[in-house]
Amino acid sequence: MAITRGTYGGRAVLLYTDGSTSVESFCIPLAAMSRKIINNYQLVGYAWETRAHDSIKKTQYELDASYVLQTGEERKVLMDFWSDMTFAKFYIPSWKKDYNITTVNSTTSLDISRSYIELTGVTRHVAVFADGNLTTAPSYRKITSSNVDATTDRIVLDSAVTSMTTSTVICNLFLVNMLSDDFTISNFGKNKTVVSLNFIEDQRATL
Amino acid sequence: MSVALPFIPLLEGYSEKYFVVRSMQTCDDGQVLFTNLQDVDDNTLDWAKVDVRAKYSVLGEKDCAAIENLLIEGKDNFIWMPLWWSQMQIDETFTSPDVTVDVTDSSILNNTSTAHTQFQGTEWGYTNEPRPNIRAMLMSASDHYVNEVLEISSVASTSITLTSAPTNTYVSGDFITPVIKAVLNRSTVFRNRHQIKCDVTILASEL
Repeated sequence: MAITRGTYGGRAVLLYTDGSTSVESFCIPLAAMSRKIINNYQLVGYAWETRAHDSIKKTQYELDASYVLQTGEERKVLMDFWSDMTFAKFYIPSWKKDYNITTVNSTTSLDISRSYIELTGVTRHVAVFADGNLTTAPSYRKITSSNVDATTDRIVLDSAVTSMTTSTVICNLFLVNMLSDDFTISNFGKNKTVVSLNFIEDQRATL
Repeated sequence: MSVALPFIPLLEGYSEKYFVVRSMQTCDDGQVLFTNLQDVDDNTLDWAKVDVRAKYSVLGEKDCAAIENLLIEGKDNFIWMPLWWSQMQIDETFTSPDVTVDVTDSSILNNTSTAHTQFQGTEWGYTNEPRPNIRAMLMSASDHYVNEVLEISSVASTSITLTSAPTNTYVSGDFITPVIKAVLNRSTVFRNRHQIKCDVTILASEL
């Protein structure tokens, strides 16, 4: 079947399937994605600046990922994505288990290990791999609320995901721009190439 | 003189970098702005440009002299630089007056269709913008001095029609590779060892 680009909320997702339920392996980054929290803002603003410090969450993630391409088609698919997204925002999974589920309360409510999750002012979307297998296409959801007490954090998804267990992998889904203007195809091994891409989150545009 | 660089580079160290020209600015409120730097009337930046890094190890007086002269030509004037990730093979005996050549997978990166290479007629492979800087290089697999650069008229999924017939005769297994019009820039290094072995590292930048 044809390699199919993921979509969520009217935007592209850098996650490709075979047109059915299997995730194409080339879109899963080599090793872990590097992620960096950046906050390049002045500690104290100038008097004439009217920045709404309380309403805008300024911290952004900067993400780096490498993709191993083994066929000309995979290369073209990723290059098309890079070309299409030069000036567009898109979603990218963190490919990291960002929420460790302790109890599945319902198809939308999950208790997670204490992680000091702080969602006030921050909008988070997630990719839910319900069976815990990264090669099965995920469900994309928005976290609508969170509740924090002394021992447990609870997140609530905006719509149901069936078959969730404590093995379910939930990755943050970042709304990003391409940070790099380069698309470099380098040799990685026999019949393999590697492409490294950089992304920067746009938290403010994450609705 | 309008010639290609018909030597096959080493796999190690070979890369193709595609890049666009734009600026990125972060506003005070955290919004990231991407600005396209290209002039509306400046067609040369309407598509991603290509830099090719390649290493060559050349043996023999004839090859050493040839590559040295080609490097000088590439520095002083320009040279048609092959994009080896898009290499395909000729799948028939191709000779004048035929202008349509059948192609097949090169096995370098499984280019099972010309759509997966940079061959798109007079169009660029992944944005379908007019791209006069790209042509096709035909090269004998047994003698790399048997080669020529021809303009592309149109492209089908497994064949390429050229605007003129070839001068030489090519057989199944010979190479057909897209070439870009490039100059060799300053990081080009040429090292001659005992007259019979040359190690060359080049960076070819598209004109």
